[in-house]
Amino acid sequence: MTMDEYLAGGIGEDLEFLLARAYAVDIPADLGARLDGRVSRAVGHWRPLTSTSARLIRPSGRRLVLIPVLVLVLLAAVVVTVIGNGGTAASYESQGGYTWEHAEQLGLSQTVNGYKLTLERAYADANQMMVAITVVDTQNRGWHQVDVRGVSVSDGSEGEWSMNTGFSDPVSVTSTATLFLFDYSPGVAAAGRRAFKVTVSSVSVDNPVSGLSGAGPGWDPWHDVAVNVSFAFDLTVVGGSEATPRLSAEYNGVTFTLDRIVTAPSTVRVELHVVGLTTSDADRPLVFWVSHAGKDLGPGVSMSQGSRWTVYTQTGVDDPAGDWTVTIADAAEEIASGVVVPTGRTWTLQFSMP
Amino acid sequence: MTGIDLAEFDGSLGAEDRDEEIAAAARTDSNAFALLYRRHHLSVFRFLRARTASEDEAAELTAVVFERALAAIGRYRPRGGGVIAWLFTIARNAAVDAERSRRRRRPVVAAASEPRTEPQDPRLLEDSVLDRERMADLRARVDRLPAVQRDAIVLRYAGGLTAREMAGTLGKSEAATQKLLSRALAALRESYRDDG
Repeated sequence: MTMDEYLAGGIGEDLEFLLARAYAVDIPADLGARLDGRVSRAVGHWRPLTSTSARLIRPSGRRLVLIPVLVLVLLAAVVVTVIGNGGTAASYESQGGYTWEHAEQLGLSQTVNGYKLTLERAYADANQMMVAITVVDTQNRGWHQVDVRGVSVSDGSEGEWSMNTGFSDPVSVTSTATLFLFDYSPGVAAAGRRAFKVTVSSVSVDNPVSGLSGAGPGWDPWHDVAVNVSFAFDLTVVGGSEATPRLSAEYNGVTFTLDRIVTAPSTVRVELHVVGLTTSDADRPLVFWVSHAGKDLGPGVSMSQGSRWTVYTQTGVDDPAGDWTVTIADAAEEIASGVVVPTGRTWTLQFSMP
Repeated sequence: MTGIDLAEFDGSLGAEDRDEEIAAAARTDSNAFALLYRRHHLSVFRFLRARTASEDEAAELTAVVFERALAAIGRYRPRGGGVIAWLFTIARNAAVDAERSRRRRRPVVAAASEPRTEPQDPRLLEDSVLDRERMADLRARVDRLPAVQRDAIVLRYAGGLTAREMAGTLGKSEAATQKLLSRALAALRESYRDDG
């Protein structure tokens, strides 16, 4: 076939147009679904950031919007330096993270089926709790990675510590250091020293043997291994302050109301609810920014449950007295015909605390 | 002010800048990584479809690309061609890995994708079959090009990359990439002339 014949058989397209047609294939629906599912699972087992590949862990059922700078700061707080590895417990060195620096050293270890789990440190205040756990596969079974899953915390109080997020840093193929953050609800965690229990239900391993070859597109290399380990210890919870300003700001039919603010040394928690967001709005990223007495506490980690939002700042305050500003910006984009258009809406809430 | 400047969200960002912003967020935010996936998985699939023998394999490798991207997103740093070039570098490497590991001997385009619907009118059906043969023939010609020319064609027309993004993927200057693409197109045209 000659080029002339080729073009004569078509509609006079040029070669580039024909090439675009030749490769313009869609993903079959069944394959697309499997592909989406597989990538979703990978995201669910995320191991991002730090020098190797730390991960962010979040509980299901809640939408968490993270602002990159905040998380970079948080991650700077959990950079770990390995003093020992290869089957020995890892040690951590803080790079400025408040919860790590102010945590109590525990060093509690248990080994189940060759997986050694060490609760390195823990910290708690009115807003959040941090636990740092190292897992080591002492039998070096050849996993690509090993990690901790199913971590829960209880302190015998009426409220509940629920996992907010976590960061893990695979120290080696046999060891991972993980820092989990929990937040307290309902209300504020009471100050004082009391008994805590941290439970680890499973270890998650990345098994490379059944990787690409012979595996279907939906294959998930991560497998959970039950360990069911509990650590009991005493910990002092640092107190905080609470206010309920009940302020609102409206823009373009959307109203944010500030219901409560809880200050603590490690972070400030801001609770809001919103009226007027459409279904499509609700899926958009919102940037929450908090400042206090002229000090920028940075963009916050935000979570939504229905119309209610909870925001955690990247740094906390020791003294809550002074002026506060909460700024909410809609960082959403609309993609129409390939053009990205940020919407640019902003809400501002200002108040003072004694 | 530290961190994100809210003034950045002023609508002036181009697609590449937006990708960079999303990639920065994707280092720590699964929602952002999901957005990257949604924006680019089809073009990655199309690129890999052109480099593999089946849709299954292309989808498999597409998953591998985004798994690798997710694992490495924390180490991503903006460079020429941005996120797209980075993703397609991963895709190109994944395709090469797959080809090596499977020691494939047959031309990868032999079973290239077929239209998934057939017209019922016999004349249209004939046209459709003829069109498929033309497309398959064109893809086969691309596959017979030198590897770097083939990659340039596939990145441009399957992946939909710009010259800048191709340059970032291929590790060449933008000018050199444009020359490479021109030479590849000229070689394709020449292949038809040779047949004639």
